[in-house]
This record gives sequence, C-alpha cells and structure tokens, in this order.
Amino acid sequence: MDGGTVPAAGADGGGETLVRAEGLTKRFGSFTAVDGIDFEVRQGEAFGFLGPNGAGKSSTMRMVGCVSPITAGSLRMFGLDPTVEGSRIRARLGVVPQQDSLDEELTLRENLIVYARYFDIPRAAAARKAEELLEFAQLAERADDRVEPLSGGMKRRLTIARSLVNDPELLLLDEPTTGLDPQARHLVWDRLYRLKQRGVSLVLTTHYMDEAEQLCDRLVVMDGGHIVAEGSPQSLIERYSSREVVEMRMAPGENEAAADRVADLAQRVEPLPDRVLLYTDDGDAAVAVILERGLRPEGLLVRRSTLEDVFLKLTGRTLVD
Amino acid sequence: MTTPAAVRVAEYHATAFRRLWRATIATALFTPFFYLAGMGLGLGSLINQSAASSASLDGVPYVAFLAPGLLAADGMLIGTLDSTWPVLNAMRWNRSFHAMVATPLRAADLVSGHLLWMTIRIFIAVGAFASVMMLFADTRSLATLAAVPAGVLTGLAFATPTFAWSCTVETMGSAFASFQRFVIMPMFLFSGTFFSVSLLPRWLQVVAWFTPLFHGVSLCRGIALGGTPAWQMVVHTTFLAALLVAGVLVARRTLAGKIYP
Repeated sequence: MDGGTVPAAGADGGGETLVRAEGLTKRFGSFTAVDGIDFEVRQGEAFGFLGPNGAGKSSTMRMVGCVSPITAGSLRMFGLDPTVEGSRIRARLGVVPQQDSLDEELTLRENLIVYARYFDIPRAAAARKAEELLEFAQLAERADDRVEPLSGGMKRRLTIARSLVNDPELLLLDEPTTGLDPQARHLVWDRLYRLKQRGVSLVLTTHYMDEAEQLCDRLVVMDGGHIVAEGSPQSLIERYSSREVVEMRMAPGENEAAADRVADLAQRVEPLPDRVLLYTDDGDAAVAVILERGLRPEGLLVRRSTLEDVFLKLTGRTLVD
Repeated sequence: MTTPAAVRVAEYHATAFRRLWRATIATALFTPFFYLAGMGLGLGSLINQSAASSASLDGVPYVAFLAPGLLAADGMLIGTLDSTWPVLNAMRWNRSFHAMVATPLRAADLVSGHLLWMTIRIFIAVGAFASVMMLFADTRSLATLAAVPAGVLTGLAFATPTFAWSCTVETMGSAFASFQRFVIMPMFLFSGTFFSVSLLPRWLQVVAWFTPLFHGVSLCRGIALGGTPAWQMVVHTTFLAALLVAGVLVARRTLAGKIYP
C-alpha cells in the first residue's frame, strides 16, 4: 500500500496465504480445547486471537507452532503439512511462547547465540545477529549480564529478540504482554509495531482488547474453543457495537434500577455489577438526558466503543475478570 | 553449514556447563583422591594383611581392586545425576527443551544431544578419575586408561534410561531422592564395587548379576586387571550397550509424548 517491498500483495491487501486452518480441532481426552475453527493468515498481516483465558487460543498457537499434533481438521503452514514437515516449517517461524523459556543462568548474548545455533546458523553469523537483536530490543547494555535479575519486560523483549534470530517469515506471539506493567507493554508494542512495518507477518493471542486494537489488522474473537466473530477491529466494533459508549457509575446496588430508567436512551443498555453501559451513537446527548432526569451518577463518561464491548455483546462476559 | 542436530543441542549443554566447570573439575579430581587414599590405602592396609581376603581380590592389593570399581560407579553417579535434575529443569523450570522444539530441532534430536553431551560429561569425570589413579603406584598402568571408555559406557547405560524416566516426572517431589536412595545407593554398595559379588549369599549374587553396575564394574575391572575370559567381557559390554540403546528408544517416546501435548 505504501509502495514498499512487500511482494505480490493483492488489491485487497492480502498476500500469499501463510496459515490455513479448516475445522481445526484439539482435544485432550474428553475435553475439547479447540472446536473445529477455520481461519487464514496472509502475508504481511497482523492477525489476532482475542479471547478470555481458556478460550483455546494457546492450544491453537501450539498447533500452528507445530509443537502440538492436531486432533482433527486440517492445517497448512506455508502450504506444508505440520504432521510431516514440522521441522521445515519451524525453521521459518519465530515463536514467543506464553511462558518464558530463557536460560536464566546464561547471559542475554549466550541465550541468543545458543538459540541461533538450534537453527544451524553459523557461530560468527549468530554472534552478529545477537548483537543486532540486542540493539533492536534495547538490551545492548545488558548483553553480558545474566538473564535472571532482568525485569519481566526485559525478559519479554529478550524472548522477542530471540524469536527473530532466523529472520522468520511469520512470528507467533502467545500473550506477548501479559503480566507486564503499562510502560513495559508500550515498549513491547512499539517493537512489534516496527516489525510489522518491516513486513513481518504476526499472529498473536491476547486477552487485552487495547493490544488487539493496537496491533491487529484482522482478528477473530474466540470463546469456548469456537470463533464467535471475525474481522478488523473497526469492522467488529461497527457490526457489534455503537459508535460511542456512555459509562454510568451509580452507588453500589443502584446500577440495575438506574438501567431501567435510561433504557430508552440507547440502542442497548447493559447493566454490570459496578456500572451501566449505554450503547449509543451520540454519547453527549444521552448524558444530557440522564442529568435532566435527575439521576446523580458517581461517575459519568463518554468513550468510543472498544473490542471489549464487542466481546461483551458476543459472550455476555468481560474479557479480563 | 550443517552441523548435526545432536551437536547443536550439546552446544547448549556445554554453554551452561561452562558456568560450573571449575567446581566440577575440582570435585572430579578430589573425590577420587580421597576415596582411593582413604579406602584404598587406609582400609586396604588392613585388608591386605589377611591371606583369606587376597583370594577374593584377584590377588592384587585392595586399592588396585577397588579403583576400577569406583571408576565404573563414578560413571553411574554422573550418568544418573545429570539425567535427573537437569532434565526436570529443562522440562519444567527453565523450559529449555520447550525452547528447542520450537525450532527445527525434534524430540529425537534432544535425546541424541543429551546422549552426546553425557558422553562428554562422563568422559570428563571418568577421565579425571583415571588421572588420579595414575598417582598411586598400585593403580598406575596403561590398562587403567583403557578402562576409561568402559566407565563411559557404564555411565551412558544409566543415563539414557534415567533420562527416559525423568522426562515423565512432573514435580520436584521425592522421586529423584528416592531413586538415589533406593536404587543407586544399594547398587553402589552391592554390585561388586567394594568387594567381590562372590562373597554375597547366593540369591543376592543373582540379583547383583542383573544390575547394570555389576556389568560396569566387572568390565572396568576386567580391563584394568586382566584375567577375565573374553566371553564374559562380551556379555558385560552387550548388557550395557543394550541398556543404552533401549534407553534411547524409550526416551524418544516419553519425551515426544510430554513435549508435544
């Protein structure tokens, strides 16, 4: 779109298909973690799985990462079958697992070099790559320190740096910023955004809607092993929510009753235990009427709709409890 | 450009080992020295006075009898120790095995990489042991050095089955401590390391014959002291090699089962 070097992107922005899943299923004994999902990831795209814990996101990621055999359905990575070509496929992937798998006894540099060697990258090239990636992850000053005392955000950045040693065509990130403080999250997002700008395709899972909105061109919302919606963040909001949301916070125990008194002010009114949400295209107008009617909320604000609202609409639950 | 996968896995183990090598080498040299000086020379001076005992010592001084047995036992100790805790660590704590299988490496490569690394690691320990044996007049011989590969084989015969089991251990618990206490320790004491198995009651001799350490000790002693019929040496070697191979085959299955959920 920017006339850059991304090869053969079609008019709709979709390049070559990197991942194609049809009826993809994962069962553990009698428990079905992923229940026959279909999705496609194209080159140059940042694709997200949004959903609460236990939705089946990580099981899907492990199958896509070729470290977990599929139970049923079909999965093609770069057009190859993971059952027989797992090793060849993994050579083209970068993986940021949910749980860090760094060797904390080794230095940052050693972690990167050792990992590059798993890809059979010659030692000298591995050392150069480590240098470059430490710079990219803003960890160059700590290169020869042990990993163990690093902060969670630094370890996460190191894991991301490590996933890039083989110049992957597709980067898989399983909850890249879970457990990080806001500043550390923004730093990680910034690095991921740069990768995206360079044309690296991303697949990520998250239960943070702001993360999905920031990074994903297209996403699927998962719940209970199923895909319940699919589209760009904007199109999902347009389809399942209103332009704006009024959040009205009443005194404890009064939210339910207040919801009845404003039911006519919005397309949809959602009473939650701690607040009432009014889905409307004109938040300010609704606020004016609320005050006119003599309601005295403890808090009242107008915001634009987010994916959180989409999720609430689709599942009746919030993303993070 | 292409380095065998097992070598690339072993490189990781070697990198991690570099942090510990000083302490490890010191242990590998001092432990045998204390054992040989204390038991071989001290206790040995008592044993050597008895005419009855020399018959069960193949007619050599006690230290010469003991040393090859300890060399084999050293292989066993390193082979089991480094195939228990570090494997649990790689599976559960630092998750380095999970990091490996996210790359082109496969579960089978992790097993062969461990086997390669254990070969090096046991060689360091057993080689150090043999070097210490060169300090004592009664154990200083070329045959002692020739026993080193047999000590390594003994260690590997323990390492691969232990690895196969360790991948399935879920928590710290007491599994490894019990294994050391109730499997390794009795074997150390009753498989001919300190005295000839022929001195045991008949039924215990039969039990001892089926322990891998008995074959390791007999093989190392046979090489160091000579006098063992060739066919027996073949039996010992085959027993150990069979265990090593069986361990590799089982380990490939147990590791794949755990790491590819």
